[in-house]
Amino acid sequence: MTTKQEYDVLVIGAGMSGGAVCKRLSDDGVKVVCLEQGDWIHPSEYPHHYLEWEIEKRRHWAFDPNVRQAPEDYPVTGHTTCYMVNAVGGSSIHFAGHWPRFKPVDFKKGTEHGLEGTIDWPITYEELAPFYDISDAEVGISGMPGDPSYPARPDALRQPVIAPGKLGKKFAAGLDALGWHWWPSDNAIITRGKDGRKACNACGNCLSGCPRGSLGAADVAWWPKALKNGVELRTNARVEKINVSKGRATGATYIDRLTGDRHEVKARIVVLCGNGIGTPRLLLMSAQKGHAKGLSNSNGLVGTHLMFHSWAFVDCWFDEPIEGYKGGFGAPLYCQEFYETGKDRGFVNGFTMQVGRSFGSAYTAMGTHSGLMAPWGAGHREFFNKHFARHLLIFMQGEDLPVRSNAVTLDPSVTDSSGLPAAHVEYEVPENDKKLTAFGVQRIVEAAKAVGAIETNNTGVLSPPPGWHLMGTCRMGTNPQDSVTNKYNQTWEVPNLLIADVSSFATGGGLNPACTASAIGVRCAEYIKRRASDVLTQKQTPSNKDAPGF
Amino acid sequence: MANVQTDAREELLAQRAQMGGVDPPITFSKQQQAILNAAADEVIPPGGGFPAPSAVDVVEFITRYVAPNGQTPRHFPCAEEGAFKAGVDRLGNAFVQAGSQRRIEILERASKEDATFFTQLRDLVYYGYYSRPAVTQAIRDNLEAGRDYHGPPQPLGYLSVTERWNESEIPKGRGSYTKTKEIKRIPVEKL
Repeated sequence: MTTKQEYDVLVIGAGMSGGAVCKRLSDDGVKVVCLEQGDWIHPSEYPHHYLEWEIEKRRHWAFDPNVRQAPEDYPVTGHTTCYMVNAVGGSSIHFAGHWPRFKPVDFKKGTEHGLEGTIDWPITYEELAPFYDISDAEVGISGMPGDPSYPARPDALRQPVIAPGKLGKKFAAGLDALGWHWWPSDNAIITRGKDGRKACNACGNCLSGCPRGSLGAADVAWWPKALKNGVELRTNARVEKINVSKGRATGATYIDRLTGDRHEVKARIVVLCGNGIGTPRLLLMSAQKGHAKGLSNSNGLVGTHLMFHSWAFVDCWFDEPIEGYKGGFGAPLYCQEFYETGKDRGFVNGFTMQVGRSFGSAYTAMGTHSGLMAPWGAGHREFFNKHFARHLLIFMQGEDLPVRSNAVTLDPSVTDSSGLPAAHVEYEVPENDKKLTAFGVQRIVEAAKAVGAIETNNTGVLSPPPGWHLMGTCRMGTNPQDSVTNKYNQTWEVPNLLIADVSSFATGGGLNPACTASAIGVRCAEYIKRRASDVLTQKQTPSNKDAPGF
Repeated sequence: MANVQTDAREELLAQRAQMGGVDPPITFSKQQQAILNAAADEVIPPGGGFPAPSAVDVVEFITRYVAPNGQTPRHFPCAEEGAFKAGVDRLGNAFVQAGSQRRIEILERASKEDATFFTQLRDLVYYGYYSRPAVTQAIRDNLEAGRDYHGPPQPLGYLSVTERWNESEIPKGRGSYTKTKEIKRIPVEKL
């Protein structure tokens, strides 16, 4: 079925960046329709009130769609553990709320070293900063201004920081002992009520969503306001193909998962926000006349330069209560002592150290993050009593190099519930990043011992890394030879097809991407509002230099 | 039946892992229940103020997390009714009759020779036992670090018992960053 109505903008994907695009466009009366293959999360589905909340982390609330196997998910084959949610709110439903901004150097890694496929972002921190501020005010961020490791942010609104608990204070003491940087974290966790959402009550189960709406997932941070503005959100709408005619996107064809019927939506501008795997998958599935290799992929770059962040977990135990079951999972503090490239470390880039909470008693018995499982039998009680709530999780996320062969492709041998091809991922941790991660583990253990940890256990370099952050597969850049879009999110080959999610990241920094994904969405919406007449008349995507700009 | 209102969403929801486990749960025979209780009490022995798994009906939990016959065991712990019951039956009535030392020997052998079943059993006992309110109460009563622990995170949360930062703890002045205009090429070859 094809509707006669033509929308101003079609947004594909209702996650953090898609929600931001929809809300900000609709503020100014732009007629927006959004297609989302998942549905709303029903309040009864959150596990927080269930006695069985911990086992449900590995079932209904598993991070990996290949484990969860819900009908709205699509399979991802290959060497990967990719974490995502297909629902209104997208993968932010599952996030911890960490909300660090990228730093100035994160936008200039091509200039700094240019290793592997590293390029500069075509925008600077200063260009994105105003959109960070807008995004922060919309989402609701707790934090403490004044971190000297960042440029000043006088216009960034903040609520009071989340409570660190014994866990946060213990890690801070270790960093203090070593004289290393730390600062209370920015988190998309509200500590005061906002827009009908309840303030966080420190329950500690953020990674399974938030029934209070305290966690700033897109379903509560962006969507109520977008819907109030009149955005038409179609759920269970699985996009099969973005349609193009005469070099311009005309809309998309989707499958209604409730009926199996196909529909076509027409729009003057299409914005793709499907995450670092979903976005390239859809572009590759959209191969059609004139675009044999997929949309905007004549240079073969769609799906390439996948980044996850290099990663390691270090579990630490103490002979005193740490009470890690208390407090928002969003990190109470972070350490960026080793964030920028060091001159004598033998690798480029750096990492952030963060702490995580410890969930409940079954988490202790089942081995926490690094797999140190309680023994069965006679030794069980002693082990449990010694480890429960005396645990501190410290983890590092390092900046991984964008490598062309780390890529998303299609796997037609496996299909989703609508018969569409699975995504296939190949990812190998680069040698540089293995060194970085090993260095990071050593520093974390150093911090843990400085504060008196009596036992540690770590995962070493995780390969593949946990795919919390799916970045870089449709990156923005300087020209059609190095990227998929220009600096205004326009794909090089289809000027009115824009990409505004984490896949557009040129590099991934060494920190959580949701804050930047949201800011990119805001920026994209503002550009469309200001320059729609240009975008709609361009026969070719302009270079960054020739584009009309803001 | 005519005129029955249906909702396609219901069919999609039914394909997901169900919160709280399968409904209706599977059932075990009395002998299988006895075997499971005996095994669970060896996996997590009671003592130190903590109840036995059999005393908190871990078996009831297991009935909800084993996929019934006819359903593909797609979700953790990926236990299928027929195969899981066969594993229980392999332990046999002799297991119930045996003393604790003999039971441990049998379970140790199962952990090697019947590893899939044993792992499923152990994991279900762990998750089931620690989900029980009586066990949460035992944690509160017996462990200093667990005095505030209340099991399911909501509705109570822990805000009133979670320490906050003191202003004096914040390390002002520590940390720096490179400004955009100061970013330059590093000698990669010298790293």
